[in-house]
Amino acid sequence: MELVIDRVSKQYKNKIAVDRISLKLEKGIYGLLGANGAGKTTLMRMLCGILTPTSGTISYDGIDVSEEEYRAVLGYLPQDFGYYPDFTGKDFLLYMAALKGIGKSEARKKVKELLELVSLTDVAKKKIKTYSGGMKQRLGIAQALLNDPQILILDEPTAGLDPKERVRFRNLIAQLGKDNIVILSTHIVSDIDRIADRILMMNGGSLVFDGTREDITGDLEEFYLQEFGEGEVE
Amino acid sequence: MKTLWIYEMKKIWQRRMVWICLVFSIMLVLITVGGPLLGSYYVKGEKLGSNYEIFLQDKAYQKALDGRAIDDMLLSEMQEAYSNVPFEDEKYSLTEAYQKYARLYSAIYHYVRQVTGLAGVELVAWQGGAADLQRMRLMKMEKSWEELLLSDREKDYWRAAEACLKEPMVFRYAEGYSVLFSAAYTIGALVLFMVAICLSGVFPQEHGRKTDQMILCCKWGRGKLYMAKCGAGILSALGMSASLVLTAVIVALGLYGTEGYDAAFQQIYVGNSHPITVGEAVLITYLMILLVGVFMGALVMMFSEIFHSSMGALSIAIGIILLPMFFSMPEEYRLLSQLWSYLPGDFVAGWSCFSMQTVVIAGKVFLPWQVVPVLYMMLGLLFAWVTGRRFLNYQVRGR
Repeated sequence: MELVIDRVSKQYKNKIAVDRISLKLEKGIYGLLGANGAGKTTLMRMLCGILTPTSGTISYDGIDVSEEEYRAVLGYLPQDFGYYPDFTGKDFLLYMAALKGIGKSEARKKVKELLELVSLTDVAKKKIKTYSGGMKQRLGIAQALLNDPQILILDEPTAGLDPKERVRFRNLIAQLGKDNIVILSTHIVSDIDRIADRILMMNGGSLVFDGTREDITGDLEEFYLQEFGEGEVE
Repeated sequence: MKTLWIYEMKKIWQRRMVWICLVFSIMLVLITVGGPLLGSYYVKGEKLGSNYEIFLQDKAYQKALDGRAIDDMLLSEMQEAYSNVPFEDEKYSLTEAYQKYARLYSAIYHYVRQVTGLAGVELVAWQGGAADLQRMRLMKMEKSWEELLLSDREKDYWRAAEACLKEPMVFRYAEGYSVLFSAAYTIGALVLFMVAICLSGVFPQEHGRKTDQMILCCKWGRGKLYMAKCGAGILSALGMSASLVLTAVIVALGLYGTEGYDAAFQQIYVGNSHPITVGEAVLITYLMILLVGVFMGALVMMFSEIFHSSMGALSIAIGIILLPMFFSMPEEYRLLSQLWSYLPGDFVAGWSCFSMQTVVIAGKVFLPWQVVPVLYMMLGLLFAWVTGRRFLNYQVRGR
């Protein structure tokens, strides 16, 4: 299980969003930190195959990011989670399960499990437009987990969750990170501080720090501010 | 795949706009087809009766003539009946002479009037018989073929078609089909507008709602989803078109009667040489409306994915629909006028669908309603390819 990011760059006209990033990721939790515009979301989108790199390659166990086989093992929660307002929560998950190629009976079972996991069973048959922000976020998390992804990419997953849910979700990620590759971007440094096996920091499109919590002495947030000066932690 | 397709259908049909459009369009179809029976008929401010009563009376008169050939005997009966009508009176249709004698033959009178170009006392005084009527119609057709800049091969084809027409023509009561044929243009336009409005959001909604980033990174979020979306869009376009077409057919045949399927097409379209029946003409026209609806679906979905905007796609689609309604291409530009008549907004009309400008390939003549389905199918595949390229290669950026 190895996700290889080889000299990946993304350039928009004269702006370099991601600059020659190379990484080899094995199972574990990777916390991605960086200021606004550092290139985190661009990198995550390239890892999901929804944005083509200007140069470089991304592959998982030799499977290119553009292939269906790669997408089959991928779970993604985007920062701005979109939904179909007139779908019920259950319908939405069943639809996403169909998109992920999960068979009908397995999908029903999995949807039931995940609705329980994210505490949405009671509102499963209600339209998503009636959900609160936190409920929508939990639904987003559930859809990312539908296919038991080996690569799980989470962009701001705990945004909108109450403290209790955040702790629950953090524990869930910690569990998932034992057998899978989890890449997590969040502005809540304490989330990364507690669960990330490896911390990645980006600035101006480049990877400026790649190490474990043990490599950082003292408080992570202070370390971040020291490294990037006035930069806003995202 | 089936599950995906069902959800894509759900996405389309869950939109309130689709149902509002459907109900509104069905109401307009009801008004178009059944509207002529509502209200009263006035001649110069004087009420003749309710439109429904007039229809029932005319129907009874036409049924009395049903199956009779428009021969010398029928022509002279008509002329004799009309000779009693005081045409100098502006309200002659209110007179007893008209109501009692002439009205029975009004359908024949109008047919002869269209062929000869004569009316009133001139028509009554006309000395010609059924053979002259046929000769005049043929002359009219020859002139029309010249104006349409038909090639010699095409003229030969239509002369042969004319020779197949039964002479003298047998009059049939065919009001249901006549109404359907006349209403085809309006119903076709409604189908086009409805499909354009309802399907312009199939692809853009994914970008607008930001669901694209989630669906595109799913295992089947590209190839199969695209196929499911296209399938749902095309089937919805067909469903919307069929709803309006079926409403029109049921209401028209229900109100006016199903009789007359085998009447000659020339009874309702004098200036046309297609050797088909009225029923066949209506069948072809409404099948073409279904085809045009599906074609518009493919077209609007392509533009919606090119612009990533339903409004942009809708503007272009409505422009394409309205263009031939507001501007006509002079027939002296043969190729351009022919292509112009193949535009969706024009092709739904009987005069385009049964235009006598044909396509000749290797000496074989192909009629518009044979050419256009092939043309639309080829263009539809091209649109699907363009849409696919745009959707499958979509790059999630910005936001």
